[in-house]
Amino acid sequence: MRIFQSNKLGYLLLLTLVLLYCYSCTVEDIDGKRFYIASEARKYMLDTTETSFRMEDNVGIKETFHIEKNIFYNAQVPNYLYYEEFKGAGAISGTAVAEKFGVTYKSVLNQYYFRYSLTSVIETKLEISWCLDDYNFSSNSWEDNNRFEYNFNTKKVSSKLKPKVKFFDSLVVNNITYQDVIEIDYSSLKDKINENTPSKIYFAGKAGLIKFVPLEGIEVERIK
Amino acid sequence: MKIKNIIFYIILICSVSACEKSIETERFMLSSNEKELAPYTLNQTVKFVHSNGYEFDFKVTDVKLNILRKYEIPNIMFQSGNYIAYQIKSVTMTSTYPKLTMKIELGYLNYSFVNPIDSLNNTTVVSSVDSMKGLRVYFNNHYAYLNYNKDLVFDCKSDSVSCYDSIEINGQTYLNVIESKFYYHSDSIDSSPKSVLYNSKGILQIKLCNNENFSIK
Repeated sequence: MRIFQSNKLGYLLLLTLVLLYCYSCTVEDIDGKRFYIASEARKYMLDTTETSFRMEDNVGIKETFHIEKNIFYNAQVPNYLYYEEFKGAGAISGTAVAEKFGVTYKSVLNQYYFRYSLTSVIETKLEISWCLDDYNFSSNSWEDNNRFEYNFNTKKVSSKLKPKVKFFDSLVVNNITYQDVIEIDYSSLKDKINENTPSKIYFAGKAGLIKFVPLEGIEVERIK
Repeated sequence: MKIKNIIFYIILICSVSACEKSIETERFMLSSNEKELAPYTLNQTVKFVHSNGYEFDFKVTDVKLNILRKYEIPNIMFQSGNYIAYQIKSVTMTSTYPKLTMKIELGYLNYSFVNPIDSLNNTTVVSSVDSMKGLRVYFNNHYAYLNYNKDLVFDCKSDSVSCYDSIEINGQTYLNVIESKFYYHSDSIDSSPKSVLYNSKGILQIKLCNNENFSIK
């Protein structure tokens, strides 16, 4: 009787596993589809008509930032906003087109060099690669520590390193009110980030980078 | 089949000739006084101040003496022929904030086996080895170049340099100062480096295009 009962339980477990396996085998076909950046994320696209701007810290040192389309290892990016084919993997099959927006920031004095992108590879994500420069590479610069990713579909930070993220309708920096501001806060992860990753950074919709905190006590703000 | 054989023998001959032993024809070492042109020691802290008053430290993170070789045939793949060996000194210093890197390299930085050809007369200019000595100051990825002679006196003839008998920086007088412009410095009013002031004490001041500067404290 006991043997019969344990066999019955085994069959049930097997059946559940088979059903789960079949369910997970459902393949989504994306062939020929176009994925656009979600409307709630579009407001974080920068106005790229202004390709350089100045910032000043609270000890009086000025910094110049330039923005570019490309990064040195991907000179093929045709524009700030562009479309790129991608292939599905795992439970997703076919080839689709993703809308992408990317800006590379380079600073003249402190040699900051990072890329800010919005991508729509099925889901819309904000991606930032902090340290693109070999010149300033350190042990904390490897991919996992060097990358920020926020998924607008799940509303969660999806990179391995998870800084705190806050969204503000507006923020005043140097007497200028900026709309649609994202704050990325690595304060509690200082030992994991590289020296090129600010402990706090603020991006505004249209304006882009408006403020960052490179280390405790120093605040760098955008100036006119 | 015949072509394959010919190619095989060509490769074989090339390989054998590439194995020919190179000979060191000369070795140029830095004198102790010359090494002192970059007067820094490892882990030394050098105090600097920004023109707006912010004081910060540069830490000397690397001091190296390297022997480099220059071959007669300086091919990237197969350097061959005889070579000269020359010593260079390099010093690297970094600051936490502002996040800056400065590097000094000195020695036979522009040594060439073939003497430069005087294009007007089409004759070879015989230049002494000592005229090839130089000191390069890197500020982040910009660099400025200073030439010096065998008496370790900086060459003031170039258009990109200015020489001063003495100059006062932060209340201190520095003698025999040379100022050299950074290559590819921008004429715009941004924060890229414009020139470096240097003397036997090392880097005295970095001037920026926006009229700010970092100077020794």
